[in-house]
Amino acid sequence: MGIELTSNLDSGNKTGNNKTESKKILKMRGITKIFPGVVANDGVDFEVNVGEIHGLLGENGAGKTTLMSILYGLYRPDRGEIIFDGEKVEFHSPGDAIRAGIGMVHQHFMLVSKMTALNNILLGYRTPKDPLMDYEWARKRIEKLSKTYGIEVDFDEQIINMSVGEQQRVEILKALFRDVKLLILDEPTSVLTPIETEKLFKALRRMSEEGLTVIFITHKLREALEVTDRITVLRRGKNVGTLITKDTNERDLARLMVGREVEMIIEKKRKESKEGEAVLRIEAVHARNDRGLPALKGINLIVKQGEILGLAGVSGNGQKELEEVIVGTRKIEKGRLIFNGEDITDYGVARRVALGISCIPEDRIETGMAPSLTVEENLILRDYVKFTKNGFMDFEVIEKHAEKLIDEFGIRTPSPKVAARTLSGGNIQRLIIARELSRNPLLLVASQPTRGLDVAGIEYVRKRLISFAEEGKAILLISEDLEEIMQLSDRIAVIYEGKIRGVFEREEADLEKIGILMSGGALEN
Amino acid sequence: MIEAEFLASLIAASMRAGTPLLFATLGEIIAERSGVLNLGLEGVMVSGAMTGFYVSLVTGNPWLGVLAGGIAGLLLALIHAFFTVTLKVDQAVTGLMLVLLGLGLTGFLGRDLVGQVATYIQPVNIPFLSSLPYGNAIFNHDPVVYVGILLVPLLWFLMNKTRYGMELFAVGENPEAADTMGIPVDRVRFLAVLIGGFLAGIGGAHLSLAYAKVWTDGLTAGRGWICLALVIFSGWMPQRAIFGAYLFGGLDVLSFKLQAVGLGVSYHFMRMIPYIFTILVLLFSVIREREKFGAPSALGKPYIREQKF
Amino acid sequence: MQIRIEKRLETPKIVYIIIPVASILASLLFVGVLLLAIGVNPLEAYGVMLSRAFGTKFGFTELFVKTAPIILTGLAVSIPLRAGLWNIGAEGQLYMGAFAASFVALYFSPPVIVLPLMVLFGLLAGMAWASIPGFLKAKFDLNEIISTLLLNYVAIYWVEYLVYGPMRGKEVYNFPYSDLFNDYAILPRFFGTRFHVGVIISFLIAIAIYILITKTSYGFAVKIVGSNPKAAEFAGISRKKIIISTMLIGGAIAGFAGMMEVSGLHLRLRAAVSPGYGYTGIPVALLARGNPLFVMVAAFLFGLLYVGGSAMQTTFGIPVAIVDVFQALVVLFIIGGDFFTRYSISFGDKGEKYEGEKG
Repeated sequence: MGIELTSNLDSGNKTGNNKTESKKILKMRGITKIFPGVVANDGVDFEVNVGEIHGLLGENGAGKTTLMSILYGLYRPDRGEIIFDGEKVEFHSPGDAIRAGIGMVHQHFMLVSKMTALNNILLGYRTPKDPLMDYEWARKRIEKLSKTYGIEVDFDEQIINMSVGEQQRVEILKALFRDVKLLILDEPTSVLTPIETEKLFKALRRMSEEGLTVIFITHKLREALEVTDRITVLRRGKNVGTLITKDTNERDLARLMVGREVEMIIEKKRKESKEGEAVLRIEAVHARNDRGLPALKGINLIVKQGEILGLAGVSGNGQKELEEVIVGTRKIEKGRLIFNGEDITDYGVARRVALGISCIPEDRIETGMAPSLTVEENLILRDYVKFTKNGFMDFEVIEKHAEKLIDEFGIRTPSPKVAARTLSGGNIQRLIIARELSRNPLLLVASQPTRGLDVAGIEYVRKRLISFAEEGKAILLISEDLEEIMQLSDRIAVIYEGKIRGVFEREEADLEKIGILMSGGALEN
Repeated sequence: MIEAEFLASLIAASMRAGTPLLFATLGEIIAERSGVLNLGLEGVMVSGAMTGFYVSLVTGNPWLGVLAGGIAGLLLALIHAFFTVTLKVDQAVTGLMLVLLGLGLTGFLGRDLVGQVATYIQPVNIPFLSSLPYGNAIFNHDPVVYVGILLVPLLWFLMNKTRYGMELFAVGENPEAADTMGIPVDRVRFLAVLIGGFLAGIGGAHLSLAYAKVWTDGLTAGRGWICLALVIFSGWMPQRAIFGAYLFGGLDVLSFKLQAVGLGVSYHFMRMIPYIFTILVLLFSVIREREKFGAPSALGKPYIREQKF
Repeated sequence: MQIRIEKRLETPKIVYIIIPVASILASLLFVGVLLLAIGVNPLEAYGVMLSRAFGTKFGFTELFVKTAPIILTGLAVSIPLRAGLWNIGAEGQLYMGAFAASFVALYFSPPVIVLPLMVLFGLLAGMAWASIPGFLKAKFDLNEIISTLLLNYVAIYWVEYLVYGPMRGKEVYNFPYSDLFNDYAILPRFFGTRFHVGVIISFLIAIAIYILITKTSYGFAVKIVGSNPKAAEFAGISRKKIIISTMLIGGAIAGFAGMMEVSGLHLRLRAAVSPGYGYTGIPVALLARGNPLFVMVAAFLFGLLYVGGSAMQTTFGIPVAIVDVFQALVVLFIIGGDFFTRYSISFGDKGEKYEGEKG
């Protein structure tokens, strides 16, 4: 059944947005899921009303995604039951969940990038002419949905050519196309500009008005408060409370989420003088992305001693390429890089490492570490040459070095000799930070350094970055998290489509200005 | 006139020699489109060749031989599917061992078949068309050749116009995305590998029962590997595979033909040519395809749902 | 009931011993069934195999003579494999080494320099042959599995062409042989058997390679590339250099194996230089997990197989192809078993089990 596309439109029948005593569309009871070594969900009870926008709030690693993946049939719970739409259900695969009327927009989009939007929406769907693809029928249907919810996409464009915002819209249409009654969105705003986020919220409210139920997974308090009707907070795999949104506030939610009073804001002291030696000068740099298309189109930036320069922007606008250009793994097509007065444009990676350029790469696991190598080997990954004697590895020194860093940076590992892949995400992060900071560099490029960490981890990393900068070193902080950028940076630059659209001192910067520049808009004056 | 006749006979021979390659290449395209690389193609083909020969020898019915060849290929592919799809073992390792296994088993079990004469597949004259000038070159082949030709549009249609094709493509490109849309990734892959093995087995049977008309140890002589290169050359598209297969079929017979004409080039020297040519073609394909979307993105990568958390 | 597959965090050590042993036994069993199928008593056949290898002086030294080239091809596969590359071309590299060494043996003088030059040319020819796929991989990302394999055929037919044509000996009737080498082009032999000095050198090479890849910074760089090429780039290691250099080292070792076979064993160039040692190098490298010390052990196992295989052929008329079957089975059983080292499998409802543990 699901939503009636035609009839519900003008009925104006709001099914329970502000009602507390409502029909439940979903009851999850006593859900337990254990992964080797981790209890991801521990007896979670979770209920959602028909037609509400229900926030599922929690830190990274609190078990939100696991709970929803269970609901969506991706994981089987070890214990517990699910009652959906009045019936006890057992989903063996996402196919079962989809048939029952549940849709999910994953944090990492589940799209086939070489297919068009239309084919992605139709993926696995049986059109009336099945097994043939009935595109005409599908097109009409999607157009109607687009109009109803105000979600526009170009059907015939391939996903690979779309912005993240557009891709998300394809994902949402994919779910709506299947007449879902319940739509799960996993951290949907993390890749959006403030303007796109606003649009998304509008669409969600529209869905709620149409009687569709939405579960909104997030770790951002402000967004949960802004868009939801009720909020359930998960902490360490447990449900620690379900609240009515309008009766709660940021402070209470934070306490529930973290389990203690938190000072959410760690701010860097302003650098005393605005002058400072330029550590890195990026001069009109051009570079191409992996697909051979221009990704950096004349970047000019200066990173000074003792400062954190924040680079704001939606991912995919050249940040990754910029990181790689500085590290030396991507070729510079035009332009120059000057490091401490030295032209390093043509230097290889090893030489730049030796000069004092460190980097916490965006893809930690993909580029930052060698998973099958041990922790101690990963700790010398970028300067292994320093740990040799006459061409032979100096294993004693390597072990001592590892022990020191494990201790100093609090890397939790059973031994320095275990394969790095066995570490948790947070500890892999610590390992990389330990390696990159311990070499005492002059410049650190930190890409999304707190992504995927819990509050304690975020605090730790931010403090490390700040003290590093306060020692007089320079940091280029690349982050999608605007709050993070605002809190940590001395200066803020905005990148959009491979160009720097503006640079602000922190005092002059505000969310609105940055948001406009991030979406390609221009500021007056 | 001699040139024209030579050309006509060369075309005819290319089609016959290219048919085993065509079947195996089409089969491998299906498997690879699902994300499973079957490096064991050589072993699969040779199993089909021996089994087909044996069954035809025993029953006197070459068609049963072709079917048996397909089934032999399917059984070897079953091993590959079980290891790579069910157990998620490294595809390269399993494939390489499949080559050893296929060559070893056929060498072992086929020892008494060497030198025997089986019942072979006979050409069918297509009335009228074959009596056109040089029509014999194209319209006087055995039915397997025509089935091979018909397979090309059929597969093209299935892969590009149906839900099955979309699902196959999605599974090979982004199995996680396919999984979240309720497509049973492992089942699709398993099936694709089996179909691939069946077709390669038929290709092998055609080799022993229609082209070579003999069984010798290691009859396929690297054809499985050439087909792996042809898959890349064809850009994973059935409609291109047929050109590659016939081209290499032609190259295969060219050495014999030239021998017959008496160019004075050593037979052993000529035997090197197809392999060198394959590498050159591969190089050409790789350079040309680099700008475009080539291989299925998930090719060679096992998919395990529970690994992320 | 449900079947659950989960990644293990830790693997019990015993699993690493049980799996190879069980795999070998299972393969023997399977091959036994095949032998039964053609009417040979497997126990008798295995008995012949063992008594040949361990029962006589000739058999025992022969075991080493057959193990030596397998060690070398095992290394030729292992080294690139540590960088994540499949060198399926050891067979061809071996043939090119044999060709180059034979060329020196037949046409070079003075005698004093011939043997050293044979070694040098054998190494260089193997290297040159391996450099083609290495270069194509580094420069164009051309699949090295296919290119190395196709080059095997080219090398084998090249040698065939030579021994049927330009290099065919004057006193070999119609056989595809070159003339016998002069004494100065032959590796010294011991104990009045075919045990030649190359065998000892092979073991020494394995130890040297072990040191190179586990103790030096080069070996470390290779390991990083093999683990994660992107991380290697990030660490300032040129992936291209590692690709080409590991292929060159592998090719050189295989080329030396070819030199050793013609100079230590066949004493001439012939069409069949190797019964497939290059391919045997693949299971050897896999079983040894790329560790040169284990390569020696695994090579010994397959050496035994070759000695036994030829014994079974002469006694029972069993095709030597059975050796291939055995090799493939052992590896398939081991990688199948490997699954159990990486994942634990449990049947039934985990929920109850969990509750049981709790209460």
